[in-house]
Amino acid sequence: MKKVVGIILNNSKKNELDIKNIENKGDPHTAIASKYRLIDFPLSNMANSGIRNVAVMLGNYSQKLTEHIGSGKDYGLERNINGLLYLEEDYLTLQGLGTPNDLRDLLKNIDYLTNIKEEYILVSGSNFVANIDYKKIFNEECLEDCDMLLLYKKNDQKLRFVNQVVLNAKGVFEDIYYVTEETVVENLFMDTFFIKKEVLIQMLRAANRSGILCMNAFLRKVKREITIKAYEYTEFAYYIDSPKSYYEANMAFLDQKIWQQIFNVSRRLIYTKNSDLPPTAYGPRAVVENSLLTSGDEIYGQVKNSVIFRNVKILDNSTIENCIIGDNSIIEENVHLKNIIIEPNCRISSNTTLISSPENPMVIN
Amino acid sequence: MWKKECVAMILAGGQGSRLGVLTKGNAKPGVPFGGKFRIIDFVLSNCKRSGIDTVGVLTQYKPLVLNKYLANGSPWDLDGYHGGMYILPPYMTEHGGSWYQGTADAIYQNIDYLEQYQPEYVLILSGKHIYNMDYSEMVEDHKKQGADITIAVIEVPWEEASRFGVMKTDAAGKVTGFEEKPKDPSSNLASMGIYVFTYQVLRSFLIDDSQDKVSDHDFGKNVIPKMLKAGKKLYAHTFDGYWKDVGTIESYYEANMDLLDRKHASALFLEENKVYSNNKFLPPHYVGPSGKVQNSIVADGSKIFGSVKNSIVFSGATVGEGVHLEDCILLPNAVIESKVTLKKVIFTEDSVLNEEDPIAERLTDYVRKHSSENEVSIIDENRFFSSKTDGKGFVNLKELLDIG
Repeated sequence: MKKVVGIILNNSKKNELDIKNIENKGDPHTAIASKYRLIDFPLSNMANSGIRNVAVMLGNYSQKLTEHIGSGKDYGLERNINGLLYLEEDYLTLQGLGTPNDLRDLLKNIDYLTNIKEEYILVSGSNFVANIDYKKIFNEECLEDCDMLLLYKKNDQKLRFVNQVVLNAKGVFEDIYYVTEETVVENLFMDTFFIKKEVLIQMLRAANRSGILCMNAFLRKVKREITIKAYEYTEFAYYIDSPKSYYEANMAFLDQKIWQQIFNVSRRLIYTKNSDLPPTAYGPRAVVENSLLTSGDEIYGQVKNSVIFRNVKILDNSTIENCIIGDNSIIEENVHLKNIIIEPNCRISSNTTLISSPENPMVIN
Repeated sequence: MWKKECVAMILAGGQGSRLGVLTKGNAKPGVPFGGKFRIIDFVLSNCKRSGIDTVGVLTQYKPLVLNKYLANGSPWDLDGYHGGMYILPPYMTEHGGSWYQGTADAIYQNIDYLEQYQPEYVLILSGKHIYNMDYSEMVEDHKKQGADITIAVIEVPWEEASRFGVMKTDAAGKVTGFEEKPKDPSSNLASMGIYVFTYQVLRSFLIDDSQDKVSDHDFGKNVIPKMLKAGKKLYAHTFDGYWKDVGTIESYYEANMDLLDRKHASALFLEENKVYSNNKFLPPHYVGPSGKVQNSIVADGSKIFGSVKNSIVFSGATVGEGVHLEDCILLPNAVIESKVTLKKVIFTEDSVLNEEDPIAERLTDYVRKHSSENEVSIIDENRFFSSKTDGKGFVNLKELLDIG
């Protein structure tokens, strides 16, 4: 993978129009699976695939992202040569005015891209939870005669503000278009593609000339001139852009099969910032069933079918069912929660009962 | 090289023979502890907490696991440009070389390391203690008293005092007498094996001791009594937090179990002064639908489908369905999948008890029959140890159960 540079875009604001919406769950720093953040997945996947040169687009959450990723040490990306790099977004996308598959952010960094010595660029979003072996895909699909390789997956989630990949009867790339109405997108574009550096530069220059700053439009125009391939990713990948998909993805990790596919792949661990908290302590009356827990947690009550994040305290006689409890939250005595997402740093006072539906989980912050 | 006010030297070369099979491939400071830690994490985290950034770790016995674990010291923020953590094994010189003969000899052989930093003070630490302590207070005390050596002490119950080296002090904390493991202790202030030396005094006593043919080159046994005799200024610094020497299987077991007591756990795991470890990249732990966990500590990366009570489950360990564990310790990556019911057993690192394992069926009965109330058993690759034999003599369960 010495030929490949990675760039991780920040696609969050293109999913939800209101960037201040606290319920937006597609940001790269969104916490997931007890101790991870969405950005951990593309970063770990790139690092595990042997990509040693990774740039992260910062966006509106620069402080949270840089605090979490730091120098890239936890991902093995702190290097004397190459390693981790941060890029800035275009001011229009920072204001939430970007369009999907916008080329503005890449265009703003065209100097960086032009100076890259590697032959290929791997561009990824950060809305997918997946453990992807980019090296295998690249070696099998990309090495010969391919200018661009788009990753997509067969999808059954109902989504909007995503891209649909269209293939012809022979499975050859035909088109990619943006979906604004909520629908089941069959071939969901995974916001991930390999592209030859020269083709990307060519694309960016054309976009700059024409003023059409959308990748989809460019691809439509050049699809007969360059080789664009689409690759179906068949392993587990979950798209997160809303409280509902966030809730479902967390719950999916309680399935041991999915768990194994993401967190138990040999030589492909998912990395994250280390918290150095002590291991989980269970009290004498704790009852825990089908749940994920992690460092710093103290459990005295009952927990069922739930995902508990770091440093959470659940006190006596409280019952937690089908819930997600965010970092540092405290659930006091006699609290009963069902189908609830508790955001980080919350305190739920004693004798509270909150029940919502799994289809539309309530978010407390 | 930048001059350092205080350099710490951690003695981490001991075999820890009384930990028996627990140190079969690993020096004592590298033995896993408390779910996700190794014993040496505590002393290294204390150095970080105390602002000591130059630390020598003296290794000798089976250092490979420890070397890998310590890496470049970065998990404890000891990878600085000016200073940092250095692993110091014995080495050859133009006059030959030898193994470290004792605690004092180990430091003596590394005097050149200390000379590089020209420190005012040297902190001598042990890699086998469980505690969370700020050494800078002790160094401050040492400076204030103008002492030649300050020894950290802790009050122990009178009935236990005879197991330690005890200090007699006057009202100002000046040491007036020192007894090593006295039958009839005159004080209950036990030495914690933590010393702050004024470097020049340490240097001259070490050089002197190295010439002494009858000396065992041990701080407690030789150097400190010599200093007392020479009229040097010895002071005691009292520590009143949680402290435990985990030199034997019983004390190792007890110290682990102490963590189930929130009082002890909160004295060790302070919010602002954490215990750091090189233990990253483990996913959260999973408790399955049939799992039951009570009054226990469970580390990340483990999976629990059976019942666990009053136990410590370390990183990556698995408790299968139908397994009942009480008062047990599962060291990292131990896997128990056959339906056994066990009490007061330590499973060693990476030990596996498969579902089809022929010994599993009769293990429950065997352990119940052959261990008494206050005895800890260890199971390691089909071998059964008892704490009474310091984990040395063992019974091969496979042979025994196949025959009997």
